[in-house]
Amino acid sequence: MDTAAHTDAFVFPVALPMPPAPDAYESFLVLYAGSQARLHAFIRALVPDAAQADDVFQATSLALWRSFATFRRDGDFTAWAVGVARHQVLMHWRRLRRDRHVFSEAILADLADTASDLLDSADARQRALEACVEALTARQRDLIRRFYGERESAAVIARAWNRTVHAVYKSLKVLRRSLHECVDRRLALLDDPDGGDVAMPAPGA
Amino acid sequence: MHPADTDTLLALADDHLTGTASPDDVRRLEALLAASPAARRTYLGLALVHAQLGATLAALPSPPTLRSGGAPTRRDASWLPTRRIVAAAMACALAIGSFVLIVSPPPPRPAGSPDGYYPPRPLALSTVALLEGDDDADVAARPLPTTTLRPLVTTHLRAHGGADVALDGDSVFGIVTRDGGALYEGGLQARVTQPAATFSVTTANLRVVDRGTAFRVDRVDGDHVTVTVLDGEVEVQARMRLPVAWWPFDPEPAGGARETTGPLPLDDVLAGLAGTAGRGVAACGGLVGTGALRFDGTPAAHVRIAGGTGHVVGDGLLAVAEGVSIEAVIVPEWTGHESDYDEIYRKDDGEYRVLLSFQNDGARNAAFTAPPVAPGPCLSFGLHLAGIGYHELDMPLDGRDGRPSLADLRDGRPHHVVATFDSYTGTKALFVDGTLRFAHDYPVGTLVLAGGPAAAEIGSHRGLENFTGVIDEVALYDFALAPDEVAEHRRRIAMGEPAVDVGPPARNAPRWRSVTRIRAGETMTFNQHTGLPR
Repeated sequence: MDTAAHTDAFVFPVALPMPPAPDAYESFLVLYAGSQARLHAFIRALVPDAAQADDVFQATSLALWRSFATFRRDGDFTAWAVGVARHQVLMHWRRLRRDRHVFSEAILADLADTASDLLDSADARQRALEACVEALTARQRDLIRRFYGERESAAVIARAWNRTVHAVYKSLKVLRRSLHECVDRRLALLDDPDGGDVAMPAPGA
Repeated sequence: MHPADTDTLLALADDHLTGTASPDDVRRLEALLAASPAARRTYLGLALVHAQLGATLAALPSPPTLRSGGAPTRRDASWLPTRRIVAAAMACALAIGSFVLIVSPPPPRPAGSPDGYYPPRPLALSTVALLEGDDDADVAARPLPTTTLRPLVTTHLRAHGGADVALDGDSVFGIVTRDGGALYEGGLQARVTQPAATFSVTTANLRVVDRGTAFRVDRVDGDHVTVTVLDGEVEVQARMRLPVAWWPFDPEPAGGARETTGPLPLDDVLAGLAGTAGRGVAACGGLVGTGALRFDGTPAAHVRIAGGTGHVVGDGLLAVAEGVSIEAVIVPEWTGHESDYDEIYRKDDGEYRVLLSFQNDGARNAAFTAPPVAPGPCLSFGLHLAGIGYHELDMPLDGRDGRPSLADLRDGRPHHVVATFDSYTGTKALFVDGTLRFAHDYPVGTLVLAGGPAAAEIGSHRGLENFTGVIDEVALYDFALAPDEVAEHRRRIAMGEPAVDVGPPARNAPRWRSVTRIRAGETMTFNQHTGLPR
């Protein structure tokens, strides 16, 4: 039996989440709506699988609401919410820890800390990504629509395009790499407005 | 970072993000990430590209081409004129039903029924009309107060409350009250037929209440529900996750001092249900708060609850249908001997029973146990499930597979026990000290049949099966607490605080809070767990 969990009953010196007051609902909605996109980006960065990330996001939203009463109204909601999300992400990976494709807990904790630091630029990253995508060829944008929008598998896209699955994977890989470099250059330009034009990603798909 | 390292890092990171990395690749990537914060930023930069691509304009699907008279979109004013036609068509469909079943009088007492039989209230439908000739005789054969319909074809109902309801052919719908039900699968369309009538559809933590209207509710997936208003207005509400009744056993005034000489504090502080105790019950220091009750195991060790009952099974404040949770903090001194029973909570309306107790049946009563377990001491959670009958979840106290042993529970320390049943998942579960210990699954949509004229009891069953030990913080909920809620309650109790912070005890506080109102022609999607719009 789980003796550790059982015999340490009633000795947890932790701050306890309390259910929110009934009139807190509107306050929560306003704050939550303002942080939702960054919260989602934080979770998606640490949980690459879209379906799993959705589950973690949902669990986080639920946990936020249930412990909203512990949030100080003069505090930084996003920072608090990211702390809750960080816990949910680590819990998620802990559940999958037998999978040898999962990072160690120490690395995940370091990544979560770094992701928290990156969050301030999440909106700027999204805008930069949008601009980079806009500069792609029609075929590259079609690949994004199919793979990321319609969630078609590489095999389905390969059939539609009369290409091999390997070629589709390779195109996606090149595309992501190019966009990553493009986003970094655009963000650097924001930091240094005189830095010159931003090169577009190389055609790959 | 050296450019070659960056190349390697990005190649490995991409494989990891897309799930194509081998275990060796993951270990190599991990080494790179551990070595440098810059590597972690690079990895996360690529991860964000992967994550945010789905939210770019290029990823959006092409806008659908709506046919004339197609499904309404949010605030699609062009659809408005058709809504009355749809509503009228529903009413006409009811009138031409090919099969009509009248379910009005209470069912007669069955011949040869045992003493203690309590008649159930009738099914809250007046008419069941099946348009396409599907012989759903099942409904007629089971006129229970709570019944789950799983129609194969479009099925039309008229609720006693005055609403016409059209169930989609693939839906699963639980009839719970005269003016509402629970949607588990598929979709339905409802329309109230009289100004005074009302109807609500519940999906786990969310409830759609009509305000003089016709509306549709569809389950999109396990988490989301779409509400479309055809006429009038509906209010979408989220559940207040608070107990129906709560007995903290704290003496008044609560000031921290132990009160062991005054009248016993037996009343439920939420609904005002008064308790009376036998002489085998005494006040003692609280496991949580200022007070608790010590039961001496004699026939006089009982607390009987007045109120919360109904005239027939299925009625009353303590009746539950879609889900239930029983929560208590206990210091048990149960012997565990065969044929010894210690009740924690029990409401026993004949076979329509809700109980949480320590039991050792020996080799008897195996037919009521699901899943089957070896004879021996157990913590038992009994419920009558509509269409299935009375079943107990008997958790062996054997110290195996994460379950506590009897000795673990008899260690003299307080233990938090919670029994839950959730018709939305079908799961019946027992938690001890915040951790799920034992569970059994039934079909989604299985409803509880409980409530009625019998008094609820704490620590006893009609003066028998008396508890020995201390009981505190008994709470009854009309929904299933989620595992993380149970864990939170346990943490609160560990700090000496009530499981739920209900604020100043407010009798008859609302059990649902308004999320939003939706008007005719509008469609909105909600997360049924959080109550938040998607």
